[in-house]
Amino acid sequence: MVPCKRRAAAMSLPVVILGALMLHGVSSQNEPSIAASEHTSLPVEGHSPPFTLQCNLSSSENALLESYWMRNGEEIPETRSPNRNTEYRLNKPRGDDAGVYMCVFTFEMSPAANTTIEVKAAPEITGHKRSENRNEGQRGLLYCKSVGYPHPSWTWRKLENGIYREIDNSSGRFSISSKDNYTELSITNLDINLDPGEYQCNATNLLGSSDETSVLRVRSHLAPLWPLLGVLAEIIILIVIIVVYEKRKKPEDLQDDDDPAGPVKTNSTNNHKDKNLRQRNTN
Amino acid sequence: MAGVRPGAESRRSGEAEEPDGGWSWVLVGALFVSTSLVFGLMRGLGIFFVEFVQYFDESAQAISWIASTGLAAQQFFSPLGAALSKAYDAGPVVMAGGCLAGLGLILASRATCLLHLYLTMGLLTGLGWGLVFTPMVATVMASFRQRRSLALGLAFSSIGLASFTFNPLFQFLVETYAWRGALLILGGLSFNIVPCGACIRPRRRPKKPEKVKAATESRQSCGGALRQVASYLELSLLCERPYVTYALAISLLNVGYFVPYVHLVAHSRHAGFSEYQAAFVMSAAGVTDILGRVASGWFSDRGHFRLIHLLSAWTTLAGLSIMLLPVSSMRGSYAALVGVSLFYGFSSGALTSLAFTVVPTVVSAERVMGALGLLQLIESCAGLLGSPLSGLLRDITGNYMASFVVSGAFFLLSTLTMATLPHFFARTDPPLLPVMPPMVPDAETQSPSSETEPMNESPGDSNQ
Repeated sequence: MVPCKRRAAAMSLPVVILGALMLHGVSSQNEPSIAASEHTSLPVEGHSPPFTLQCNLSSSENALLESYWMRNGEEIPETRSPNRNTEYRLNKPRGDDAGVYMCVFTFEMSPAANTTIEVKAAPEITGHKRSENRNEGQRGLLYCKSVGYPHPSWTWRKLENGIYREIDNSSGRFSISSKDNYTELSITNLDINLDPGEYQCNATNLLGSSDETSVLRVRSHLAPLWPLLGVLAEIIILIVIIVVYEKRKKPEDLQDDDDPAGPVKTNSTNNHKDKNLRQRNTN
Repeated sequence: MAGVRPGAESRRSGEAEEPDGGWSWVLVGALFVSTSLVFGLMRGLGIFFVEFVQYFDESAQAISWIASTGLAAQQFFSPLGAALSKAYDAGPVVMAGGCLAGLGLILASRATCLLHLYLTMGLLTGLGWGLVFTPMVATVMASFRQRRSLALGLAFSSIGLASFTFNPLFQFLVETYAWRGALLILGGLSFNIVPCGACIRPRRRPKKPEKVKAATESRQSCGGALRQVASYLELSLLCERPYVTYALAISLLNVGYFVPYVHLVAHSRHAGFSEYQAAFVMSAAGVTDILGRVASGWFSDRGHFRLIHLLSAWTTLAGLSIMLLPVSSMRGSYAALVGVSLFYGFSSGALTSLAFTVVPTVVSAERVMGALGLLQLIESCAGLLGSPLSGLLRDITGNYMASFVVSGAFFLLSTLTMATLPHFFARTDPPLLPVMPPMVPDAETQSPSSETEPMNESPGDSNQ
């Protein structure tokens, strides 16, 4: 580089221009270039074999501080190393390993450089409420969570007459809010006639789609009264049976109310005592 | 009177029909149902607490006070139930108790704040339970001679069985009807205690001649009423050494009794076993608890040993097994833990069958009702100590070894206290002298005592 400049200074103008152009070319040679793995897609089902994301820093002029990996905008812990060739290994790739990966190289004198690798996967719903039981007039909430990349587009459907149909929001009580891998269906002022049933959330992206159903049940305020009345009826029947049985079993004992019921071992001394008591009564 | 059949005459003997007869077993069934609706229901309330914590947004401790209030009210009002049963008959008292318990739960279903729940589900329902349990137990005990322990053992097995069935049932009710609807239905279910009370036949009682009664009342109406209340509550028992000793022994037993129930699952998890293994240990202990109640009831009625000796034996064994519980899991051996828990379940169930049946051997028969009521009250204070104490020990030492050892020690202390009962080492139960009621000291009231003398002799007879 330096001998070129000295020569250019001694030469004519075209040479100077050529030299300046060469400088520019040389300085662009100093920008690091990273060779990275291809964008990849995870298979939907089954175990995909382990694979490795690689980033190799090509030029060696800049002094490298360290390199690390990021996923979906957050640094992956324990990936910092001083290597120019860095790799991140996914041993058992699953749906939630999908996302945007980035290998970052930091330098002492230059700004950091990075490359993104997209690991795509079809959506898979990992969380949803199997059933939701609410009282009439309350607010019902159904949600679904998924993993996969790119982030899916969500739709909610309701099972009617055997087919899943789009939800009819003419009453304005339904509201859906979806963000990235999470969606929520909120129903206000639950109606016991219209709202109960099976609801399905569907997540779709380029690679595939997935859905899950949740059951919504609406409890009526009057529902517990029926079992209560049944139990009370059973109790009244039992009491009637017992009272009738008692009255039939000992009709003669009921007539003995007037007798002072003293100790009643059947022996003669008892009779004496009864007589004594009777005598006292008349006194 | 000449035309009355002999059966009818014997039926008029005091409270019982023919003792051990057919109707007595009906009463056992009634006790079975009412015990399950009192204690079984109490144990199943845990499912509601999760709902309450969410709905009222309160801490778990504030919610757990509901159950504590209910249990404390049941035990505190037991003497009241006993006194009312002496003044009036046991039947109406139990029926009133059932109505109060059901009413408390129904009102609780409309609760809007935690205080409501304390007052309805805690205090009112607990009051109802207090009026139910002691009179029913005393009535069943009075209607049996030979098979008393078996009857009680069978009836108390309902607690364990109810725990098994009520937990899934309550879960289903809460899911289907929300906690308000479920409490409403439970209140209705609690009204089933009313037919149980209706099974209790009215007692024959000596009628006081009007003249004597009026004379006494005019003399000291206030003092007389107080003395009457005191006699209904059997407060004079508190001055008698055998009863106080026995009450102390049962209280010591109660300090340690609930500790394993509360801490066994946590201890199993702490020892490194999974949730399911820990839950299984508890269930296994519950099953042997039921078996122990029935088996010990049956065996003690055979009459080979005195009831107090059997009670001391089971208490000692239960105490030793509690102490062994933390030791058995030290080596990480699941089989040892399960084995000791089975043994603990059996022995602790066995002693509950006997704890009440010993009372007629310590006090005379007509005071059993009041004695049971007071016993419940006295043991409640001890029960309140037990769980916090063991929790404290666990917090201090960091594991459950100390709390289990201490509660086992309380069991052994209880046995030692029982050993100080008079005539403990005699081969047969001592004869019990009947007590004269203080109010009407004339020849007429000799009749109840002579009536009870045969009743006093028979426990001794059956033990010989």
